[in-house]
Amino acid sequence: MTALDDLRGDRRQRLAVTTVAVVVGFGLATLHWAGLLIAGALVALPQRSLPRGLVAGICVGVLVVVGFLARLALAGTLNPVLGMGQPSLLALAIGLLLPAFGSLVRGVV
Amino acid sequence: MDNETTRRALLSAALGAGVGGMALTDARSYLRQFAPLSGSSWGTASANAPDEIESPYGPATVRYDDYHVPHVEADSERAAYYAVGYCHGADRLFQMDLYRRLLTGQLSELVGASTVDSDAFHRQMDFEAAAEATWERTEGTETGDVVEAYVDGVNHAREAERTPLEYRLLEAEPRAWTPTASLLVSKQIAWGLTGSFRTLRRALARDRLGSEATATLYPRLLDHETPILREGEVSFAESVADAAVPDPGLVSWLADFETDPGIGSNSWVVSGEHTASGDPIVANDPHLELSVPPVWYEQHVVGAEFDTRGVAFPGVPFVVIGQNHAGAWGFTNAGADAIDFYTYETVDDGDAYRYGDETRQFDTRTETIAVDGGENVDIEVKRSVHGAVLTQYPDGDGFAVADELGVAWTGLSATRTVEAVRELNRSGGVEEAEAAIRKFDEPTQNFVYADDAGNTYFWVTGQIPIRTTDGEPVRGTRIFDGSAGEGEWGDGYSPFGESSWEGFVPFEEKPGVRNPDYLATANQRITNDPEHYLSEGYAPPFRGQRIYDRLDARAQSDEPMDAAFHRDLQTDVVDGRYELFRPIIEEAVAAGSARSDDLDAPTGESLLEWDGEMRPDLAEPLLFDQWLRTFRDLTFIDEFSEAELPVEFAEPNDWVLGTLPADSDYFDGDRAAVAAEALGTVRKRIDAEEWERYGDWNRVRFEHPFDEPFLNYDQHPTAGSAGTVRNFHSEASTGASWRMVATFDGGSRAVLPGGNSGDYFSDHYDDQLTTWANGEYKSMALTAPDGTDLTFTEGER
Repeated sequence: MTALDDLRGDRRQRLAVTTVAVVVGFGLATLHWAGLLIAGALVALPQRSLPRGLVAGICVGVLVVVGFLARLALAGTLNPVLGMGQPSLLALAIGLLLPAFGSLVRGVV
Repeated sequence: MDNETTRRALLSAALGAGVGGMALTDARSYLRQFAPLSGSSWGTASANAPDEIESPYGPATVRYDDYHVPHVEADSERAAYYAVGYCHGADRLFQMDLYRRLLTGQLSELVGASTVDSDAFHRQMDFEAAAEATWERTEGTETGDVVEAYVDGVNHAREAERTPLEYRLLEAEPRAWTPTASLLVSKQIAWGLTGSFRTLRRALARDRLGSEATATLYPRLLDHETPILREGEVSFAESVADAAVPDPGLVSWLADFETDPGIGSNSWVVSGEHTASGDPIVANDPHLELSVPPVWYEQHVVGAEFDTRGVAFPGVPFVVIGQNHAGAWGFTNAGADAIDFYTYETVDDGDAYRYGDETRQFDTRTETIAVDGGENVDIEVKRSVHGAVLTQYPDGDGFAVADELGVAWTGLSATRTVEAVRELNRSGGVEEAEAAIRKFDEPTQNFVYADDAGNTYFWVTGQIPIRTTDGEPVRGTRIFDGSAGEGEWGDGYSPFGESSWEGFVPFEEKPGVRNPDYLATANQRITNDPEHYLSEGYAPPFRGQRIYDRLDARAQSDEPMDAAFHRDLQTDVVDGRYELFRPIIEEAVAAGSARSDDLDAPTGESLLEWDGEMRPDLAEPLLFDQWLRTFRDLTFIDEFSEAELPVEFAEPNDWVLGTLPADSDYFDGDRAAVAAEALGTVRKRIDAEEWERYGDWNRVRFEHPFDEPFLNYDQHPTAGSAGTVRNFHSEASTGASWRMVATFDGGSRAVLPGGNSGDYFSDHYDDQLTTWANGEYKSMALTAPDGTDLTFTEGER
């Protein structure tokens, strides 16, 4: 039994670490695109299985996209950003896929 | 256990490959730009700009109105223009920088190899040295002090505001703005209006088609009766012999860097005697490139001694067309000849040239064009006694072989135009406006003005050289032998230095009139009997004729000319070409080609029933517009092809085509047959394209320099043509870059083709586009909205 296994087995610890992972991952994602990968990895690692880790990664991706759109809405630029077409679709795809991809790390560790 | 290990190995490999692919390929650039939250592009969309700003020049306020027009107010002129600079920098920084890069030949450094030719041309013309000379002349003057404050304001915005999206997409940083950069923008405008290679085109035409045919197809003066000043007798005498024939490749190459054929404008001034209010009215719609963002920026600047509203070129502080506390004014292109070309007898392997009895060295240096993502290109930049020397162009040997062609242009010297425009902004009536316009060295423009005391005014601005050969005045219609001293300009001309007016047409001898009753300019011939040679060619008279017809009719009626009448005239869509070509269409219909068939396109018969209005919801203007293009092509294509003129060589204008004799050789003796063939061809094309109305073809398609769909403006059907007062060239995207009708009762109205902001994410990126496309206006009153958006406080920077 490793410390990670202990963490995964304890629901309270798992939830607490996942919450911290979301906050840290989100913060990193505002600094660099690689933060999206790390965010996915961080939230996936405490989960009990790879599929659960993947779901956590996807959820973080959705959170990132919602946060992104909310920030644009607050700035009053949501409509023109969505009107950009390919660049905005690319942003949404990156936001959803990179954390999910990063969460695959759960299958390795 | 083996399965688990394999799975881990596979996932590790997939993760490694994925991360490596993202980090080590072009994908990294996309991720850097477009990743949500961290993507550099989104910084422009989500960052907040400051609303309190320190200014070393003192307090000022900016209030943006519903169209994002800044209303700037300050006691000190420098404080006001610091704020104006800030607004220009916040709203148009990339556009300004692009102008600077274009003129200094530094586009390729930003966008790659596609602009190497442009960079080579602009470096050879050495506009940058001309702008530097102009700044040397301006620095330390009152105008220079204001320009410096403006430049500081631009740079404050560059640092404090969101970096424009364009830079983020290019992953580049904006460079510091400078006074020379501002003067480069003014040089760019002047070149765009007077930088014509018509002399070279005509020389080539004379060589290939013969002098007589060239005089017929490309006459210097068109035989019409509606010049701007409608008096005197016109002389059409022509006599030209060129010193050399330009290389067709050179002529084609240069065509990309000269005045666009759609460039032109309308303006008129009407005295209070004919208006409803009893005050004069000024109308102006300059026809320039319809770009994204627009070439103009609207601003309202109030200082202790002035209150000015109108449009400025982003990069230059002052209102060029507009209205102030005492007067209103506008400009159209005069079409005066301010450029000449010279060949040389070269010696020392092209390092020197003969000039009279002397041998002079070319002033030569090598410059390197930096190319983003490609190999740098070295070019030679030369100067002669006449100014710039176009030495190299890609004529099949790259930039290897020197082909010297000297260029003298008034804009190559230190000019006072920015000083003149500042004084115009501050002027308190017609006398001060005239004093200001006397300093307007370039470009040559038709200036119309009226003041609140009821004065009206028209004068041609700018330096027009008096060329001489052996001391005798000659026209600038031919390529001169520079070594033999042909076509010399006066002693006052100092390229890349400070020129005086010695050797240029004196102000009082240029066309002009004080207190005209009413007067209209539309780039047509200025006057029938000028004191000096003025121009190598003017625009066809269709717009000018229509404007004068309507002004004459209204003046003779009982109805006064109110502002609504002038706005209606400014958006008039009757195409004067229809009257000229209708008899030819009749011939085509009589020739039988337009008989009924199963095509949906309108018929020649319906064209004869039409009223000549170029409206987007009608089918007939579509047929007329397309027919005219095809008729012109069919008329000249064989002769031009046989003469081996370049494919894109400009065909004769519509006035020439419409006034050629019916039995001209260009019609092979049968004009009706050519017209009928054109009608048949075009009707089939209209059906094939599935066009139903003029608006299906005649659309605003304004493109951003990046030509990204999201940055381009939406397309709209619109009215007008090359032959209507409401001037619009659909495929060239040129037309009314600003429509203004200025009155003295607070009812001035205007509109931009797009929006005042160049920021894609702004609500004002294109908020006037539909208004413009529909021929409507918004207020241009000298009033400011409530509230304050930007507050400038006294402070250090």
